Amino acid sequence: MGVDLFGVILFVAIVGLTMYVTYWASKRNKSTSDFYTASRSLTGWQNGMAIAGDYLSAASFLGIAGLVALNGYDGFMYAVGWLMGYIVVLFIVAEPLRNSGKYTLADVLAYRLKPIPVRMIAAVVTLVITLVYMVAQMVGAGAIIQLLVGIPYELSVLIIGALMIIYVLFGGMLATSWVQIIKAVLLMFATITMLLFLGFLFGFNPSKLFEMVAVENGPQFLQPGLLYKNPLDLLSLGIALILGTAGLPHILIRFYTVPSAQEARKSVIWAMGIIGVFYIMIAFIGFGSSVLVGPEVIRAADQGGNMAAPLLAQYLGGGVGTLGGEMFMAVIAAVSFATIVAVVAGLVITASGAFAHDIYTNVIKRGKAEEKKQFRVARYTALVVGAASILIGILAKGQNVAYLVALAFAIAASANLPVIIFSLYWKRFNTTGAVVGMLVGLVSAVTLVVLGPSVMQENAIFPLANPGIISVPLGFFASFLFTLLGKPEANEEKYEELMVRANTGLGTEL
Amino acid sequence: MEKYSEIARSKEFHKLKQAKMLFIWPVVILFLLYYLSLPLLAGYAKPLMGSYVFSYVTFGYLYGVLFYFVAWGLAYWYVRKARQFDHEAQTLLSHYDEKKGA
Repeated sequence: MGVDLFGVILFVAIVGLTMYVTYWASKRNKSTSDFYTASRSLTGWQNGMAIAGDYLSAASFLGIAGLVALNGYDGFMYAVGWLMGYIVVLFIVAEPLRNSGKYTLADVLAYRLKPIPVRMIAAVVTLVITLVYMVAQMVGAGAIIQLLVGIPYELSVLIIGALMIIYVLFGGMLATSWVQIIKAVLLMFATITMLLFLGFLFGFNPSKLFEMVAVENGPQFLQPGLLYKNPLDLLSLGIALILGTAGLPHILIRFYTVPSAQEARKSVIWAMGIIGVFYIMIAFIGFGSSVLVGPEVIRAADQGGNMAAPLLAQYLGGGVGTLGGEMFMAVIAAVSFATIVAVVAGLVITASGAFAHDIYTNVIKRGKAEEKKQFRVARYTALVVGAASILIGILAKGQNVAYLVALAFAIAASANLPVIIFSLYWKRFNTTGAVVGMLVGLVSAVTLVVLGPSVMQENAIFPLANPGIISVPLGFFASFLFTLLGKPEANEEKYEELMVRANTGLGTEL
Repeated sequence: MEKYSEIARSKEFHKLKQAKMLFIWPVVILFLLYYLSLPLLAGYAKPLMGSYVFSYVTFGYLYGVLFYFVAWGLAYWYVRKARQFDHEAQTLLSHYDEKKGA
């Protein structure tokens, strides 16, 4: 009884805090620029924490802990790739993007290419990536909340969906950012607390933990090979992870929330610190869970291993049925909940930008929509996207959607990254190259996943679960080839302007 | 705007851009290749990855954790270089502001 009450209080506290933030932000959510970018008012550290909050999904927190707990070394190795993509973000994309765009990724691509076709296809790619990511989050969220809190799947999806709509609709990017910051703090706090408990048990000596892993689960747990039988599969996933991060629309639009390229740079540094520390810690949580809880118990609670971290918390708090154990588990459940709402809110705002700013304002209205109207359409879009996500989440109940997150990264790496790089760094690049490149990247990534083992199981025509190793080079090659086949843009001034803006920050959106 | 073209065609801007390109691209490309060595070693050098370096800490674990530190190290290096580029860009812009009398 006492524990249930504690769980409810935690849940109410998180919802109450985020609602208060939304109320505060709603008073400053009066224009399109407020809605998409929080008026570029965030500082580097704030945006860095929000990036971490946007990026670290439940799939990272519960999923990777489970992968490590069930597969040992391969799970750890999988976790490594998630930070590495930020090198590409930092070195190549963040600053020029901040300096040359306004609200969306398409702003940068449309700068010197023909805006209508480029915006249209870029918005479609953004919507597909966001949708794929959203379905993965919603289905995972529904199942996890059901498992952790015991409320029905449909109700969990509905609660999460309603909350994200409220944050975005009323509080815009400012509320979304602060929900993500709060979540990042809670997630780090919970993970560090678990790690400290674990540390006391193993004398803060990783070698002792690894020894127990080898004794309890066998030495093969410390070696590669339990999860990835085909090395090419792992290589393909690695390519998608490291190149996909810099093409994820919901991460890229976060750089518009800061006032300058210097702050954008600082935000990547903050994000890299938090995300890196998190993944190093979560591997220990996974190894700890594999020793203290054991793979059989974890699998019995959830086939995918999602319960590895909550069950470890229960053990560390005193075990099943103890007050401490149940309370610790309730904390993890509350943090997982905060994690999910923060990620989905970021996705809704991204999808709104792609539809309202790119398709409505710039393609349908040719850039001539009234400011008031733009603001209204942006919020209507958020409402529709949110409602659609709830519906899809409920319809997709019980589907195995774990592969969708990796698919989102693969599309981002194959369709978005080549054209981002070429439009920022290659003078000859043109509209034909951009449009065909994005189409080829998108279609090849999706097709290969549909033909692969995730969808067709044993009848798979394409042997790898991740399409990256084929679709990323295809995306680059198509952009390159069709640029050479297409007509040059013949607007050298625009390219010069883009170069000067990207490299010096002269004339950037304030 | 004319000013953009004038800056873009200046020697200083060309030099700044070239210095940036010569820094970012080699680092990023080498880092990508370096990262891909992890799945390759895990796939084709299992005995090496599973060997114990000291007590129960494997080579594979150390090799994996090293990536985090390399990434942080590169980020630090980037920030230092970027400050230098910022400074050069500012000098360049102020030079053009003066020339225009703005």
